[in-house]
Amino acid sequence: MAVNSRNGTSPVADVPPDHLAPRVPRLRTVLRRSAVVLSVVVLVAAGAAVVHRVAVSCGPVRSGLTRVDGECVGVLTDVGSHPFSDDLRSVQDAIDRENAWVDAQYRADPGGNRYVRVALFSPMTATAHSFMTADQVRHTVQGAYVAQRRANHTPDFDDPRPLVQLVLANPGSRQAQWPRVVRALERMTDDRHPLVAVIGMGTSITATRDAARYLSASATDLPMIAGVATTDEFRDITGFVRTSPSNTDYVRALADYLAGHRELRTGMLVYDDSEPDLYVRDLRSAYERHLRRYLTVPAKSYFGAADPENRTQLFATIQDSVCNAPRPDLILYAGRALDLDDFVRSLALRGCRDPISILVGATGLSPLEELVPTLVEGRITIVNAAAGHPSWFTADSHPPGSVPDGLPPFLAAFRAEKIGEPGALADGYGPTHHDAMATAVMAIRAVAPGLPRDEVPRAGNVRGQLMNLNNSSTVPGAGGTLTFTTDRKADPIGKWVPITVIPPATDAPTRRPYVTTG
Amino acid sequence: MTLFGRRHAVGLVREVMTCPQDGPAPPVLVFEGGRTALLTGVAGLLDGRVPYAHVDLGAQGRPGTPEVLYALAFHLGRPCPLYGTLRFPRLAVGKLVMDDTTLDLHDRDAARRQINDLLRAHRGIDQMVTTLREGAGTLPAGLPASVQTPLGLAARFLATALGRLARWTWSSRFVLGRAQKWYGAQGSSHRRPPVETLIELNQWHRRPNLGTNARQRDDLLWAAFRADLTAGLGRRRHRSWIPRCVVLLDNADTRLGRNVLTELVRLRAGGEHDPLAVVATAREPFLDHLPAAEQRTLAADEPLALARSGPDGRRWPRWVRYPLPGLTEEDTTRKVTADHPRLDHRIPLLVQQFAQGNPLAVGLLLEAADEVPSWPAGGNELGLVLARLEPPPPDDTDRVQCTIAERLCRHLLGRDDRDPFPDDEVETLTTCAAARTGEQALTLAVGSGLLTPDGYTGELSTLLAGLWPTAPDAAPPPLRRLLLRRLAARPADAETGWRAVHERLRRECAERADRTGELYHALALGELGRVAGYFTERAGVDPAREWLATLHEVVQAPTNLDHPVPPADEAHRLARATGADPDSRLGRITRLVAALWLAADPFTGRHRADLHDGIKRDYRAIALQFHDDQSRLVAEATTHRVRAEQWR
Repeated sequence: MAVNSRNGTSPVADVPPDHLAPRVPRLRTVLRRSAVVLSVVVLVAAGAAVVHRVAVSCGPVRSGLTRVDGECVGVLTDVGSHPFSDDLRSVQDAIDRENAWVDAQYRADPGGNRYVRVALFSPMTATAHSFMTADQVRHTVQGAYVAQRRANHTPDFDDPRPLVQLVLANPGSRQAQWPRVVRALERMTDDRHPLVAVIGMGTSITATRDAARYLSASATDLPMIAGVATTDEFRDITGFVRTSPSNTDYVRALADYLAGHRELRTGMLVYDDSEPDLYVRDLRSAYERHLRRYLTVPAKSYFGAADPENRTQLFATIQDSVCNAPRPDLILYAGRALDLDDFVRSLALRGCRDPISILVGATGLSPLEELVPTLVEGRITIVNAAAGHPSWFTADSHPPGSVPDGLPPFLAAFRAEKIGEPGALADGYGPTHHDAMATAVMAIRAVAPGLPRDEVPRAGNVRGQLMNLNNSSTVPGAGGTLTFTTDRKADPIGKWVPITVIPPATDAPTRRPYVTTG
Repeated sequence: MTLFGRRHAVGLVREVMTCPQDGPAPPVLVFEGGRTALLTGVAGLLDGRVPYAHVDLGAQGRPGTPEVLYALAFHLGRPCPLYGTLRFPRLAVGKLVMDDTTLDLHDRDAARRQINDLLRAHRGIDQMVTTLREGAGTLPAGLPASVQTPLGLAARFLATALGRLARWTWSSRFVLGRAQKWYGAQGSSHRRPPVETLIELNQWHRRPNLGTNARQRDDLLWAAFRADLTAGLGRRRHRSWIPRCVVLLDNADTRLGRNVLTELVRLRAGGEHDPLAVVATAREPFLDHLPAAEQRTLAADEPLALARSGPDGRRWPRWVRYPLPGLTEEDTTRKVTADHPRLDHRIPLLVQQFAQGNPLAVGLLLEAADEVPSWPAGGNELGLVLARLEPPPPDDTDRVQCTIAERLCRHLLGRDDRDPFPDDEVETLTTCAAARTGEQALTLAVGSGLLTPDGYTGELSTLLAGLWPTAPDAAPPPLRRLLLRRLAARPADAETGWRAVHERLRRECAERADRTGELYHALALGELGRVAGYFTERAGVDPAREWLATLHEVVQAPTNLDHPVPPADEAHRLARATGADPDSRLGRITRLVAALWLAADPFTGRHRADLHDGIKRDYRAIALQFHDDQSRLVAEATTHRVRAEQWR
């Protein structure tokens, strides 16, 4: 016996099943249906968002990383939760352990062991089109880690409090995702363990400039300490300093070298014409400003690694030009290190055999042992003004010749951590990012004494101390005892810029290296 | 099973439901003559759409107003879209307190502590629901919970989401606390400590016979029920498009039903508004004692036409009565088409003739008929159906499996399975069923000693009165037909057997010069020749109208025939048995009387086309003898021509 009308049939003949149901007003029906539809849409959208989130997440869903164009970008605070690559797994685990130790100290004594965070903003992934190689990426993280360890466990960077955690911020191999990363960094400045400084900043490209300008203008007042961003254009960005020489410093160092080599007088500028390479443009500008009297041969250009779509393997026109009168004995190279190999090989095939020197200003060239035979055969000499000298990073515990005061303790600490492979320091990325982290820590600890014991510095406090890192408060960097003044703005004083001549690559510098001054 | 012929009744229910909730209460709608089937159908239309309670007030035992309210609250509390879940915490608090038989009525302080402890111990809302359900347990729902179809998943989620949220939002303490506080003011401005009222409530309940204790208790519980309902509906009460919650009360004409409804109406008259639509059923009218101004009886298909207005805010009476019409032949035919498409189309005609539109009887018989594998060649199809056993009842019920005839009898007598079958009353009724009129039945009962003044009860007289239709030539109601079958089944030589009773009644009719009665009982005794002889004698002498009227009354006489052969054949046999020449006037009239007598018996076979064809022919032939108005007999002939087609 059918007793209800829920199945669509009425229990009473000639009476519709809904005859006694409320007659919901049309508007209310529309609103109810709209609410139902909206709820369904919201649920579906939320579900899709969750699915999307899971699909594009890297590692744990709440890792802070998002997959964009195949790369995991974002800020990784749980550093051990997602290795960016197999290359970085070991150093990320080490950082994760150190961060866990810092947190354990805090939990054991919340009042006495407050800590802050410093973000390493740098590409964590390398591809065929990136501006940093996989080795340079790894060495960057290693250098920062070693500085973190020294900061938390030694008195090398002044008062050991507050402790410091290191987080990794990946803007992508070409730094294209910098906007989402800097916004994430901004949000971290109000955490209980606030983010107080950003180090690294990547290479000298427009993305770095834009990120630096953004953070400079940000209300968070995050200070930036760059490791390898050498472009002069960055000098005037408020809150931005660097532990590497600027391009002008490189060129001055080269000028200093040329002053001692008067036989080198005829120079040709060869520059990378690809966009958006600030380093190359800036270096070219520095050459033109400070070595103008050497530029007696018309300049030549090429499209380099910065523009993967227009890459050229051969420098055919340049190869021909160097044998035309007036033949240059100098090439002022304003290009990426990635293209230097190809340039050298192309130059070695020139028709004439007059010796020629290629002047390069770069943080650290990749090891060029394989290139030496070509250099010798082609009568080519590479004169590299760099942030370090290869002789500094041999297996010897005491590098030959003069070295910065801060180098031996850095080497000792680096080796003690057993974090780097042999030759890890040769490209200079490790030492310079160590120095960037050290600078950040010095600025943090310059603030701390003025705060109550249970308070920690904030980003704005730290930024305010950057220009006070001088006189008695200097940074014992691996690349020199660094100071920062308003006169030099972003550029450090005391940065050693040794000249490396290749070949030979391993000899100690024969003359006192150029050191940046105020 | 679809209910036919109740469209207008459902429309009346909708009219009372759509009275504005924040205005004067609509009248109590009382359906007379119908019971569970109608309310079950209405419940089916309400289920999952509007909160409702379907309660049978004919329960045994001694349930009172509290039990009725618990049952109403329990059933109204099922979740319903647009209404949410109605809760009755005030009523539950009242019941909790009333059920405490250990309350110290001599030490007020102790009583206060006991009540506070009691309420503290029953904090869960789930417990409140359980409390009400237990209280309602003595009153069966019109529709057992196990049979009710649950709401669809989405509707149930929507309906209960807010209820569950409310349960989380309101702590148990908060809910019960507010309910308890209500007993302090009960909606009025005068406040007193709630616990004092609760103590009194307990007192009233434990001593209901003392003074006005029962009345005070019931009034307070009604107030709590109304307050809970009003609070539960909230602002929905002011939305004109949301119908009132519905209370369906079966057997309102029982003692309990009268008490409950009278209390409700009294409270309404006193200005207490409740957002309910109350619909009741009664076997027999029970409001005759009320002033005419308080009630109104609707004619068939007459609407309520309730309208708001008037300075007193009310224009309609407190009660509206609607005698439910029986099913028409068309209703029965449509029902068969809908529910029993395989059934021989002539069986429903037999059923309709027997049941006279009683919906439950029609439904029972058609369902049973649908199970009959094959029909006899002759007649007595309904006898077959009545003798069948009904489907086995569920194991968890007290229902006893009996024959369709017994089930029908119980139903028509208004007796549930839990009630003992009133054998003595039924025997009396069986004997009295032989009478042609109710007066004769009563005379027979009292005069024959079957019924003593001491044994006379209002119920029996009510039943007796219902066995005879108002029109003398109308077919008897189904209960009387069943009783006549019981009479026919008595031993032939029994003192109250068929022959003895009809002979007695014939004598009494003769003594009263009731010629029609004499002929009626003569025919019941099988004296066809004598009856036909009378009509032959009067044909053409009496006016056609009178002749026909008498004929129609007489042929309603009951038969105790077995109907072994098809009706036309049976009519011929009966006529031949009288010895009348078939082609003579007497023969034709004898044949006509026999045929009409068989046609009036629903137990005559289904092959009636030939029977009515014969009646048609005989009417035409006999019409020639009536010089004053042949057209009447011709019209009768035409009627039977149409009937022949129906039976073909």
